[in-house]
Amino acid sequence: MMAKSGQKSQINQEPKETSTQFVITSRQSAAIIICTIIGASILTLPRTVSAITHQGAWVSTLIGGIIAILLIGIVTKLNMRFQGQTVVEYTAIILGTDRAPVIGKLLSAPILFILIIFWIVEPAVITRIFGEVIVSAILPNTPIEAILITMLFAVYFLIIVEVEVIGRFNELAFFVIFITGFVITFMTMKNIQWTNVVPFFTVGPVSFLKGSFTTAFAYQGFVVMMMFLAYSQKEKNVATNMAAMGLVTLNYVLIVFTCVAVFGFEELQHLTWPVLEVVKSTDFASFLLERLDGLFLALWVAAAYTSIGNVYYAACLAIAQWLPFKKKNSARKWIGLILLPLIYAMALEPDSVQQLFRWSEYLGYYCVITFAIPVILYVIALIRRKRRKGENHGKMASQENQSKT
Amino acid sequence: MGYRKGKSMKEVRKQKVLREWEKKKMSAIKEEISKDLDVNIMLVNKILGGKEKSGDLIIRHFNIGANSEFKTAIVYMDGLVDNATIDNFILKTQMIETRGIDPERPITKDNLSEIIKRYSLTINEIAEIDNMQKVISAILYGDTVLFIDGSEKAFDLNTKGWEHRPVGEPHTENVIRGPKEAFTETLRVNTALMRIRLKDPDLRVKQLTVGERTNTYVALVYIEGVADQTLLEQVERRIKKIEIDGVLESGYIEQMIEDSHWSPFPTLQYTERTDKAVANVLEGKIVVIVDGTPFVLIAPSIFTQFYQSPEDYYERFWIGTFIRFIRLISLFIALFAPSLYIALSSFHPEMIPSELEITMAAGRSTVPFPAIVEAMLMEISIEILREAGVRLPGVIGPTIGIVGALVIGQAAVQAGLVSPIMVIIVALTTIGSFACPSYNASIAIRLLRFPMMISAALFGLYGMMLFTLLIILHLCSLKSFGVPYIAPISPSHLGDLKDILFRAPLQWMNRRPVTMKPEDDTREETRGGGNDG
Repeated sequence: MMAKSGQKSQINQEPKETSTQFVITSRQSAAIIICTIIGASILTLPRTVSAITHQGAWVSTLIGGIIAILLIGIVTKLNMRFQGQTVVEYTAIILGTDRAPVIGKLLSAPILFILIIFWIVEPAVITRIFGEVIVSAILPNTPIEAILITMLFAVYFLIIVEVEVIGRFNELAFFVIFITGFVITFMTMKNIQWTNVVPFFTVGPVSFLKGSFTTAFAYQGFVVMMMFLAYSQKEKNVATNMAAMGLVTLNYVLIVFTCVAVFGFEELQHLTWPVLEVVKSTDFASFLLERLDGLFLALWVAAAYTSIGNVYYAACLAIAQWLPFKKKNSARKWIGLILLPLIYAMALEPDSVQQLFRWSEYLGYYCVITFAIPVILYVIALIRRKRRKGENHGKMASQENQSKT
Repeated sequence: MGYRKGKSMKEVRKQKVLREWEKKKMSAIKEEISKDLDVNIMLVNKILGGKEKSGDLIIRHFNIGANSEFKTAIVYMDGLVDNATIDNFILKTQMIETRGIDPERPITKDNLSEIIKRYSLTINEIAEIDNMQKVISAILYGDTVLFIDGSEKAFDLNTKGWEHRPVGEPHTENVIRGPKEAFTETLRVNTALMRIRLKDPDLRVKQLTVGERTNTYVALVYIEGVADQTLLEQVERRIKKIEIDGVLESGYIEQMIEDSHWSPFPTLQYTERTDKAVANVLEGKIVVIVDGTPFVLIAPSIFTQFYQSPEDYYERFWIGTFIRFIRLISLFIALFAPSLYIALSSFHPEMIPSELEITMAAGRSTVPFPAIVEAMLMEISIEILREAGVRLPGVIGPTIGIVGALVIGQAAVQAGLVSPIMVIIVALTTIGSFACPSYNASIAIRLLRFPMMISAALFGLYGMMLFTLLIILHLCSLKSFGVPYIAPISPSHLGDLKDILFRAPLQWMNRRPVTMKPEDDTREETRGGGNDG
């Protein structure tokens, strides 16, 4: 009954399959978009938007959403131009010349730096926001450090898996996030008072634009697709990704509308976590569960987890690809481990919730820059007629894919 | 260091034993069969230990021919063979009927084997063998070997006929409606049970041998042209790579070929139901039958299979769907119920409706422990009861169950050790885990319940959710022979989803699940015969 232990580890080692490149299906890429975007920022969104646009908050959210839909379309187009390549690889091609690839690498460095810094700071802020919510709402006696550590530790498990697992995990988490998002919204609609929302347009058009500007932080998650889309190659990605963004927009608009309609925009300014308050205010099926906010937050852990995890993963993946590591996979795991205490320290940095909100406000401005990156890159790529080298690579891959399906 | 040293010592010892064994046996076993009968018998005796050391080895010398001039001998293991066959169709035909052979064609030393084979050996399956290794394995597999003096060939005669358990009813996967035949311990019977249900000329039964000492037969059953060729190669390669001295149960094979050793979740399914095995072969999977156990393995296996039962397909689809939902709910209860109790009662009492909360608080008022201790106490004792119930002799088992569940539970409540709600929850959890049709999946859920309870005790609902996410992440990272474990939920395939939560009408299932990458994904068009007007 004794196996030769020396060979045990090799027993189930399969020869590497050829098609490890395109492992994310188009539905999975849509799920990644939704799961990354819907996260902690939704909890404060109604307050920040309605501060500027009052009753018309949902209009600003809608405008922001439409801009985001266009942006995800551009990101997808850009990735289809450079199929199988991440932002790290194609930025250097777009900006560089064929003769001297060093120029491209040098020029792309600041862009990648901006992106990666963003992808490191953002998980920290989301983690902190989420920790604050959990502590203030359901675990008042637990120190926030405990929440942050457990959350980041759990997120690290996401860093050590392959990209295809990220796709699958997001596809499953999508159901949890999406169903809670919509069910909770529809439940709370019971308390809507129409006098709180009409008339929609009480402020000038400039304010609406300014309002949609503030939604930027809520919509920013899709930038990570500049990494993940490299593992996806379906032709209909543009449509599915834009549809995914449309669903996010719908969810946001509904939630913002409901919050304003339930509380009115003046009262909303005094609530730290408006969405949470609106959930607290409903009594739906109270014979079963007296209050829904605990359940809501528990399920919302999934949303925060995927938001933090996906962005953090993108950061580790980008660094591992950018720096000249030989084993990209294990490099990603080590980078994740090194970044973990950094993110933890950053998450603990804001002294108060007020300061935390200021951080997320600044991050909102910062992420407008990250939005500009794909647009600029796409325009330059169009002008310079840059594509992935070896034109038929993409075509061959898509043919292969067609023959498979 | 110590570990390495121990390993090398073990290795050295093994090498030494092997060398000695080889010196003694291998020289003999590699021999060709000699012309001299006595040499052959001596070799057999040397390898198998002779009559003194192997009491069940039978060597029978006898003479054949018109004048009984040719010396022959048969060798077999007593108990493995069918004695009547040997008496009637080997000994009787050889000793008596070779005398009356046509005088026109007299038996000579040269044509003896030919004549025996053609005219007097009334055994259905015979083979000519020429070396000692084959002789020994034939004897050990229950065949009889016939040596003829002066011939360099021996006959391997099929006389297998050991005692085995007859085909019986399945004990572990009971259904109300469905075939009642289960696999048995004998490989040949099992392959026959599959063939009789699947009379397809493309059904293949590929036989391998595993285990250096047990030499266990392992058969891969699949349909050629339906099962994925690369999958077949993968399964075969993994089985061939196994180096183990003994295979006593298909669990050995399962653990040696599964994808992840560390996962609590099984990546191979086992069954003793013949209909389940056939259904899986029809979907393009591979069934691995191991000699000596009624449990066959099914590869690849995905998570959703573990709450499905063949019965789902035998009843009409509403009923199948409903029962499947009940099973899913019971899985959730088995995993979450005690942790939810802990989380709600110690962290979020505001979520429980007030009347219930008051009752619960009243029940808990006499309990001296925190909720986690209370839950652990009950959960561990129910696990002990369950394990004891399996070991107890059949008649006492149910009695102990009643004594444990009712009497101890009631007494524990009265003694103020646990609250009444806790007893309800433990009972629900236990029953819930029994509703899962496959035992190895339900045991994984039972196992994960405990860390879930601990995380609920530490962080309430937040901890539960975090641990659930980790379980989901783990499920996502698992693969079974190249098939993602949570397929077809993700990567989603809408066509396959009709048989996951729901059980769609059979008329809709005219395609094989694409998840298993079948080479031919069209089932024959499934059409009802009832409504043809």
